[in-house]
Amino acid sequence: MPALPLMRVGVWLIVLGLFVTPLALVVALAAGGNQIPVLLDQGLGTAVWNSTYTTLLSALGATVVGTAIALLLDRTNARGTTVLRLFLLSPLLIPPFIGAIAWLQLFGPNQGLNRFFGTEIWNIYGADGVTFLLVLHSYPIVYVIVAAGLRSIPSDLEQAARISGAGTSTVLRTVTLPLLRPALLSAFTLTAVANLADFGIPALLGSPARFETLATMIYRFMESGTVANPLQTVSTIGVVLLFLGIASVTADHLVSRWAGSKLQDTGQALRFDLGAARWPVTIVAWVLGLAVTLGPIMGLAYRALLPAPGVPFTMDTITLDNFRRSIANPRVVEGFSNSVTLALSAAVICGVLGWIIGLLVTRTRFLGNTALTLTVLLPTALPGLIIGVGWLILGRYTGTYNTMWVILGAYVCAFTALVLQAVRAPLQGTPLAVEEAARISGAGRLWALLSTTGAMAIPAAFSGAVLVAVTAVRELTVSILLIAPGTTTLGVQVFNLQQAGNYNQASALSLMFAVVGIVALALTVRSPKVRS
Amino acid sequence: MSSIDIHDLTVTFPDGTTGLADVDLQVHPEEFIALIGASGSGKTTLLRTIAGFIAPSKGHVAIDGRDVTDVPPEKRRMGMVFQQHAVWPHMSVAANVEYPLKRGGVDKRERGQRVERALELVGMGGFARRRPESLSGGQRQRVALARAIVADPTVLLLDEALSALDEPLRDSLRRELVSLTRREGLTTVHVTHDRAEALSIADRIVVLGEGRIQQIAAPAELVSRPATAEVAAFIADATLLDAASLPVEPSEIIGSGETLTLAVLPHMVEVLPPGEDGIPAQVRSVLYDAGDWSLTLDALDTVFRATVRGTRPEVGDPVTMRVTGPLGYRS
Repeated sequence: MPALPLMRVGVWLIVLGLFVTPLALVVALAAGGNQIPVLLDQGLGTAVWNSTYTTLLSALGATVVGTAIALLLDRTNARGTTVLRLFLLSPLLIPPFIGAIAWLQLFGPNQGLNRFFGTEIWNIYGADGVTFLLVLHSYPIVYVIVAAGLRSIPSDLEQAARISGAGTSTVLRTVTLPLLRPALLSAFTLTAVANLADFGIPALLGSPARFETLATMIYRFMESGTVANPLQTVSTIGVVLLFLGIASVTADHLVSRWAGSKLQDTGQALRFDLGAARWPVTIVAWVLGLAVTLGPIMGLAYRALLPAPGVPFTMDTITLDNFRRSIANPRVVEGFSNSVTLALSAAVICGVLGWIIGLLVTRTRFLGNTALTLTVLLPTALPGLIIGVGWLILGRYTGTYNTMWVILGAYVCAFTALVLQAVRAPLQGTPLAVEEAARISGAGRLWALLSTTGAMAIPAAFSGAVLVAVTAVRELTVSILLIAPGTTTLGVQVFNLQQAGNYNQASALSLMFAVVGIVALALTVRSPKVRS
Repeated sequence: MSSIDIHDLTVTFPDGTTGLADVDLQVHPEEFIALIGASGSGKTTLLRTIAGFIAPSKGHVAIDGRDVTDVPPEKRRMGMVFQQHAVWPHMSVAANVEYPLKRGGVDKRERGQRVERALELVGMGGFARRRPESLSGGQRQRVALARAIVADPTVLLLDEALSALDEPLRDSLRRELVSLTRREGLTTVHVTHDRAEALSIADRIVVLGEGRIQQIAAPAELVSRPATAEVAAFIADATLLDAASLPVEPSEIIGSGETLTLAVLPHMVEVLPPGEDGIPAQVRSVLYDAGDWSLTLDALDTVFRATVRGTRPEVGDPVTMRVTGPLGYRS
């Protein structure tokens, strides 16, 4: 068999084993018995309703906020946008559950600002807190998608409207926003799916107020033993979420194909003059940027510097003990070393797998390429808990349950998409002629592919792999159902410290998470290579 | 139709480079002006400053005597066609053409009639309901032209409007453009990098170089009497050389100064068999050009251009070259 088809068969076997099997097991288990009555009895109706409206509201909010910020930063003459961008995008660098822990310190009942003012300004527990945090942690994704959409609008189209008599706001309304429609749709879909799947935020901010979503319901069934057959029960929820995920991945695929075909990239973009509103808008944006960046950090620092809950914050009482103790905590140390090992291994495997799949689906014409792409992208649209459940079942069958292998497998399944997304665009943009030049110079098909287009995509695959490592090292949702004594991860340890009421150590760890994330962003921004 | 008065116009870019320096230009009503020059010469900067997309750091732009320097583009009542047509993909052909009328507050019934007429004018009658993606490149450019003229603009600006099209479509659209602007009495400013195009369609040509106007002249004058040695090289493929290296009297001397530069245009070079009285030269390249042979010749450590008829010369052939009546430029 020639080399290229052999590689294709190998890739398909890996994808079937790591992606399709665990998800198929979830479906198979759910099909094995009717758990709907049990679920309804356990409050499925409320959970579905809660999930639906927080998801839709937060996705809508994130789309509006993210689009406004994209227009503000990239298309107006507001001042100081380079630094402002870092502040406004900082929630992207903090895992959502860490963000929830941080805002909890500011707006929890009788905490932070509520305590400071002596009266309850806002109680973050409940639907409003969950929605707020979901918006906060998804608008940066909207920004990234919409900013790319804005860059792809040829500036001629807007200038043609100007010269036809349209003022800046009319240009925005009649030309810019209509042309952004595919990007807005895609941003809304992606954030809606991500928010539906989020576990950390509703677990930390919803559960204490008895506000349950589908994700926290799955966790409750798995952890508390309130139902007789938890795996089958959660698989039933999983199937519903799986079909929602498939629908959204397919929709996004169609939208991006439709949108990508006609608009070409251009140089310099039109900037809208804010006129008299320039300074007010700049000030509001800066206040917002500082609030979303410094707010959580200050909340965490406040909590982390106190020795115990309830102690007043004075120069005499503050201490670094929580940092010292959390770093020395043997379970934290174990979680840290496990997370680093898992993240690095996942980065290498995902990097290579994503790179090869990217080459196959963009540079060869073959039946099943679309199916391969969608299968690999599907986990991005699924709650991490469902991937966890799938691997839990798979682990039981293969005897890998209670080992690191099952977590690593779940990570590869969950995160290969990040590499595929990173390599797809540069691969699609590489002209076919570079491979044809290698073929005419005597290279075989596979070698022509690997040595030209493949080699050119290595930097993108590397960026994707770095993203996998950064995501996996602070991940909570995929591993929370898969950990066993000796195989816990860092994210789960922080979550458990918070749930166990050790707020001070949890905050100290969260603060370290947040600061490391923000420093990482500052470094990436300084080296433009990684950014592109 | 309107006149354009450009006075002392200077554009300095944020990075400190000069876009335009002290440009003065008067465009008469109904005149067709072409802006040409090498890339980076400032021709697009000048057009975009007239449109209002670039704010000058000094100087004025006036339309019909009214200073519009601080007027935003949407209030200048101009029409513009872009290189990549810039037809809005999310609107039908009719909606694209109707857009300037809507912005101008024209009532609905009149809008319909004017859209129809503009589409007829550019030969796109019957395409009103079509979507832009179903049109060819040439058709989209016609829609863009209809959109630019529908609102009776003061001035029509063309930014490399034909450059994205292939021949022979480009040639036919060029001819239609000329007859349309003449018939409708449009004042037109056309940016192009195509010398032949500028010479063939413009009433007057503005040659730009390094942000300055090098010459403003009618096509025939520009070709026969370029104002500077650089314009002669750019417009007429002249070979420039120091007067000392070519012992031929110039037919005319333009400008004043110490150094004398000779510009030898292709029609001033006569190619004779080797051994004749003249400058020994060697054929470097031969191109077929509509009945003639267009040659480049190596002689006097430089390259000359010449045109011959009859037998095809071969690359490497030794020949004799005779130069008559070159232009002299003092600087």
